[in-house]
Amino acid sequence: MDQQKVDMFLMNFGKYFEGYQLTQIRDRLLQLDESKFVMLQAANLKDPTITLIISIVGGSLGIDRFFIGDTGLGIAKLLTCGGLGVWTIVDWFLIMGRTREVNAQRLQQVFF
Amino acid sequence: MSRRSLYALVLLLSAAGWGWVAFNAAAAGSDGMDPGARHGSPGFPASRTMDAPSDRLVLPSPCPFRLATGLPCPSCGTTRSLLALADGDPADAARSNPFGFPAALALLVLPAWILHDLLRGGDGFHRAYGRTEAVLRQRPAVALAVAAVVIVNWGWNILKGV
Repeated sequence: MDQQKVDMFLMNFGKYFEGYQLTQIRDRLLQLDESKFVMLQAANLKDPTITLIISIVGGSLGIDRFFIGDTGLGIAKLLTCGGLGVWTIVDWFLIMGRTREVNAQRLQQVFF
Repeated sequence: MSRRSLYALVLLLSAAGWGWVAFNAAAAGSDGMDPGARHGSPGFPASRTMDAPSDRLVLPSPCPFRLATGLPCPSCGTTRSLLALADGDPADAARSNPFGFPAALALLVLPAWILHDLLRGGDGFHRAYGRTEAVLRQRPAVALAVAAVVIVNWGWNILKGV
């Protein structure tokens, strides 16, 4: 993929990943062929900040977990009323990191 | 999710669950409270329904849904169910909320499984969790079935006046 497109992707989606992963991601993107560019758009990456807001607003219903695709944990969180409130609070701190992890996994699937 | 984060999260949640049940058991025991008045709704006379929410628990219900709407949520009654199981009364547990059974199972099995994995350096629970998530993601029918069960139980909760 050409450098301009790669840089544009990183400008838009840099925050979606952990900082230390960005060089690796950039290298893989540069090696990727053009046809995969469309797949990149369809990777369904989630914005960690939006996820955090969802967690604060609807965390006790597990909506944040459902949003990033952790369906099983979402159901468990919902049924335990946000893990008796404990999980709700814990997730306020964990959810952004978890979202970035999920994004990295989804990006890996595009690479292969 | 990494093995370490998953195990830490589930152990923390199990500890919170055990603490919550133990707290309620201890408080209810020391107060020596009476079951008190029972209430119900049409078709479910009081004699067949649950203790009123405030009777066996020490605190007002922690459920945000109930605080907001006055109606029980799908898991309301689970604490009472667990307390009933601890007292050796599965019938009462089922009447409070059948979710008490899987909850009791989870509280007993999950910490033991995780500790076993940590001591033996295995990742059985981690892999089982991965398989469950995969199934839920790839076969929406399963997730829908779970949702249906939850909603039916919710309806029953409302009828019972949990």
